[in-house]
Amino acid sequence: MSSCPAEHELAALAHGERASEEIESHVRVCAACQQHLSDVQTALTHLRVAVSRSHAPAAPTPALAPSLRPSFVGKYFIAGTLAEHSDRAVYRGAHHLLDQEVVLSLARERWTADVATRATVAAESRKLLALRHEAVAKVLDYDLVDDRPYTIEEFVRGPGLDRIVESRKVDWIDAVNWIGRLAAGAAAVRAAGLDLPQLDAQHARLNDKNSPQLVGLAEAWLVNRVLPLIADSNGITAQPTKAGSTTASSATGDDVRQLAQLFGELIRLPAGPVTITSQALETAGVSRRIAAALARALAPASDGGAKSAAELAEQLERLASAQSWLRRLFG
Amino acid sequence: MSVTNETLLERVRNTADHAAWGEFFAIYEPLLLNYVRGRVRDRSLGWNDHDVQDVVQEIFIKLYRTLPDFHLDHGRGRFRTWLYRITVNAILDRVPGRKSADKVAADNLASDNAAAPQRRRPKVHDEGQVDLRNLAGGAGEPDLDWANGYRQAVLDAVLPQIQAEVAATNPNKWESFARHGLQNRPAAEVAAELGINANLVYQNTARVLELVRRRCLECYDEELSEA
Repeated sequence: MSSCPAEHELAALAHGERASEEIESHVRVCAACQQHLSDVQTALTHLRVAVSRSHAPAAPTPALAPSLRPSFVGKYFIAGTLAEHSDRAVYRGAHHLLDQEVVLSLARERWTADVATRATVAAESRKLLALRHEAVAKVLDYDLVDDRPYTIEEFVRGPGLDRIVESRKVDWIDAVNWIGRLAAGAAAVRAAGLDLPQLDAQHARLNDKNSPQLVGLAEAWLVNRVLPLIADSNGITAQPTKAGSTTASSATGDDVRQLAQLFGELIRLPAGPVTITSQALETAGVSRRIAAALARALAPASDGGAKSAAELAEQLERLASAQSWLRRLFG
Repeated sequence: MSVTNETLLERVRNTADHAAWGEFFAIYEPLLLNYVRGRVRDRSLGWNDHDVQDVVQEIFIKLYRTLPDFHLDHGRGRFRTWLYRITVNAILDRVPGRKSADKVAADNLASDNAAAPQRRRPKVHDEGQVDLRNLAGGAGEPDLDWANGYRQAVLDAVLPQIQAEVAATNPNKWESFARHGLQNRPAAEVAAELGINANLVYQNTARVLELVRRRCLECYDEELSEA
């Protein structure tokens, strides 16, 4: 045989079967055919392994399954799912014109009727979009895609305070600074007449400047303002949102209570619905000079504590300055 | 899953091609999730599935930003190698203190079966323009887990495509390939079952195999004959 055999004529050898004597003689002396055979055998081996793995029983630790989600929502690229709820999905995404990542909260239900209300809500969204405060993640967009409303908020890349609380006790001076900043952010949201998300560790993240920012404002607005309208428009009874998820913090006094609780979590005060006392603060390492004033600021309003997030922010800022002054004075 | 003359890697360069990105996710997301979890497991990093998801999201954001400018040049490296480096860098980015202990982290994350020694890796933000010539010398070459996982992901995508295409026009052709090529059963036995001659079984197998190899290479830059 002078010329090389066709591929299918080599197939028998590739499968470990006998071919004609003429073909086998040729392959024994032909480097090209030997290489070709080797390539085919390698490819077949890979294929058989892949097929056997695809049909193998599930491993003891199941593989992480990618969730079903769109690769784009409107003009936003969706990189992954942050949370799934019965009435909305929360995605992490990006936009090719924006130099930042975003959190996209998308309603599951379509909002087809009630055009006038849709327009009113769109107009209301402007104050959400206009809000700018260094301790609040920016809301960047509100729109509808296929009649499903969605909000866009900047993605704060740093760790959530929930992860920090899990991993370590925060120095109390840092905690005073952080809660003071979050209180200032919460006050700005209230001043704009907007609902807040829960003021808990899940809704605060440290940005790249190690400064805390409230996150989830856009989602909270979608949940509290838009989704009930969709449910109403579609004749569905709105389901109460589960505890721990994004709901409105209803009263300004409640803001202070939640922030005080978060402070306690950060410095690892004993858990429970307790009033923060100066003794507890001292036990947690707070300077004696500051503990009483700090306990007073974080106390319920009825016990002389701050009456609003704005007041708490002011008091904590004063305490942080005093601590800084004392430190300079006494070392 | 649509197959066009343009390869998937070319199509995702167009960020407006949402269908292409859907396919891209379907193929590569399971690979990335499993690989990242495998790499960090048993490395005492204390990561949970949330961390793994977070890293994979970082990778896709990077891909979305860099793929539009990505040009495949086989002379300089393969896509799977480029994607491997982006993946490893994304893992390293999340390891606390990696800047001061970069090499240690890289060694920790390298697979036990990785043959190549670790070498200086490019800055994360250089990845879009990573010089693939650096990969040609063996440094930063994917480990076996990655190579196997990548191949598996591609074949999981390609085989159903080919099966649908071939079986629609010639069911015996696919069956010949499935029973003889994939299940490794003797050609004579398969021929008897399908009522065709053994030569045709060989031909069918060879042609479908060639189709699979070409699709893997053209659409996903995966050379099936590589060890």
